Amino acid sequence: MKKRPQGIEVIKRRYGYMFVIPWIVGIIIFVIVPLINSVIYGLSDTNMTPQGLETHFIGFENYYKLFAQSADYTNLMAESFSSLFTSLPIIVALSMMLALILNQKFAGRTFARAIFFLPVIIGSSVVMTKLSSFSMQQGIMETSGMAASQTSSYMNVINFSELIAKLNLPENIGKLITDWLSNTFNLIWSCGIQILLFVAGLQTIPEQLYEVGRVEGISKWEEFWFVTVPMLGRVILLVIFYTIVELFVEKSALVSKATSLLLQQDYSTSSAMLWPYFIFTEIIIAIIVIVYKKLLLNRWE
Amino acid sequence: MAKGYQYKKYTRSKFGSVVYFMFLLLAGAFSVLPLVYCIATSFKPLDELLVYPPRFFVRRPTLTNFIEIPALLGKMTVPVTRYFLNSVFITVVSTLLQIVFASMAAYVLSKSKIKFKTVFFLIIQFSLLYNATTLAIPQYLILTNLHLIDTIWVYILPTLASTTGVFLIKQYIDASIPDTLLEAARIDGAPPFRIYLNIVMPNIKPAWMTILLFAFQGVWSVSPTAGTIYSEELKTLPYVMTSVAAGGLARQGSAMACTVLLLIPPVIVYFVTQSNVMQTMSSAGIKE
Repeated sequence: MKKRPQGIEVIKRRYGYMFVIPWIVGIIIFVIVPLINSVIYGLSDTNMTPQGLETHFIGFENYYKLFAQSADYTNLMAESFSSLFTSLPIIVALSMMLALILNQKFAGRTFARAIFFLPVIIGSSVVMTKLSSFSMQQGIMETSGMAASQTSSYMNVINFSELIAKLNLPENIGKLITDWLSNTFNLIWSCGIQILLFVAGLQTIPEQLYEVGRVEGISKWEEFWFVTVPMLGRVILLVIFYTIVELFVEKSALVSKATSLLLQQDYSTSSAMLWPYFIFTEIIIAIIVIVYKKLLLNRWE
Repeated sequence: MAKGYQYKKYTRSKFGSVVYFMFLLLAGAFSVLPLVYCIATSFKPLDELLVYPPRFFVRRPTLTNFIEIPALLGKMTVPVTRYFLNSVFITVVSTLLQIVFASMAAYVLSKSKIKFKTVFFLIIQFSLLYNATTLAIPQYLILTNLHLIDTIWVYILPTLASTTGVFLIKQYIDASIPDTLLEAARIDGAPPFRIYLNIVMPNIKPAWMTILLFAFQGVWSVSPTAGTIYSEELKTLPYVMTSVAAGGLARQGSAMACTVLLLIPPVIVYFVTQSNVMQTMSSAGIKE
């Protein structure tokens, strides 16, 4: 039988709770309660009245509407997932490559690292919104440019399409290059934290391991695959996790659609849109984590 | 000749280095372009701002945009120092409280045996998946119920429930503070709060410096959710920037100049904290 803690143990625990309480209260009020509310909104018909929000329970009708009545929702979902599977490997590989270079000793290394971290410093801020809205206004001035600026990629700012147009390339090739540039751009702008995680991870690999490799006479290529990658095992997992969250939550078409519905005060549909999506996301993350651990991490460690 | 010289294999050829750094430069260029454009635009004279198609670089740089700012700001109903003080106050209070709350919670989650520890940690991992916009409306309703709408707390309170901070600090404590150190302090008779303040906090400086960076850049340039702030005297610097920009196309240069000025503090904070950030991130990947 388990003994109840007594004396000093009780006091220690009391202090423990005292230390967590401020944060726990914050989490309950600003994360957990909102999450539960959003489940409730998803299952009801909501109405904004001067007295506050009125909810009327209607069961799964919102979900039925989303899945059965139009293809929009399923399309958005498919789009978000397919963009994940193309972007994820590229972001992981790209940030790893950049981290490997940034981890070497060269003049101006601190500065170079800062440059790749810039998107994190300024990316999430209102400044970036300003940048894109600025290009939007120019877009409106161009009259025909409206459609282009609505893609809201940061590319509008630089207006590569103008530059490409000046090169007098055939239209298809020009478009191909513009798309490619704009994708590269978005990808590099999503790499900030990942590069940081990789560089930090690289610094924890003990130098002796590389020395052993050198004594055994392995090539750089072998060194990368048999020393660096296995030693980064957990960091890679963290990067994958982080990237999925970033792509799914911050940069998905579905989430921005749901957000725009929120602004129109359609809380129920918006909440209903997000829940299946988050559940799928969780499932995908769980699958990736389990497969990665079973197949790779166990072998490496 | 080259065969006997075994070491040759491990130094990259000149050509290899050039290729690597070309790659780095190219990727770096993508990263800085928006900022460069932003800065270039802030120095553009009016006629260059209006030119079509827009040019990337400035031909005849001028300081007019910066000089105009005080005049533009003078027209606002509330003096600009008020916005500035609001921004500073919110940023300092929110960053400080985030560090204190997160490190206290992380300390307990890492070192003590209280109940529900795993539950808390699951909550952290789960809530990393939800972004601010998803929670914005329920949060708004909660703020209404707490009668906090149109107070300065609208900015501060929601940021305190930061899960990333707790996660990073917990990982760092796991990796860098041995139980024996705390045990020694306890035997010497240090009360729990003393241990936290004099032993844990100095040892995890890199971790809270990292949170300082993230918290700062999150709060500094944030605009409140629509409908939570009405009073003019409670608004912050990003609002000033938007209202300058609202002056039409001719004001874009000054708006950009404001943007550039607004960017300076986060960049400074980054350079102050950057070596610590690297240290913290290396502990993030150690355990799950």
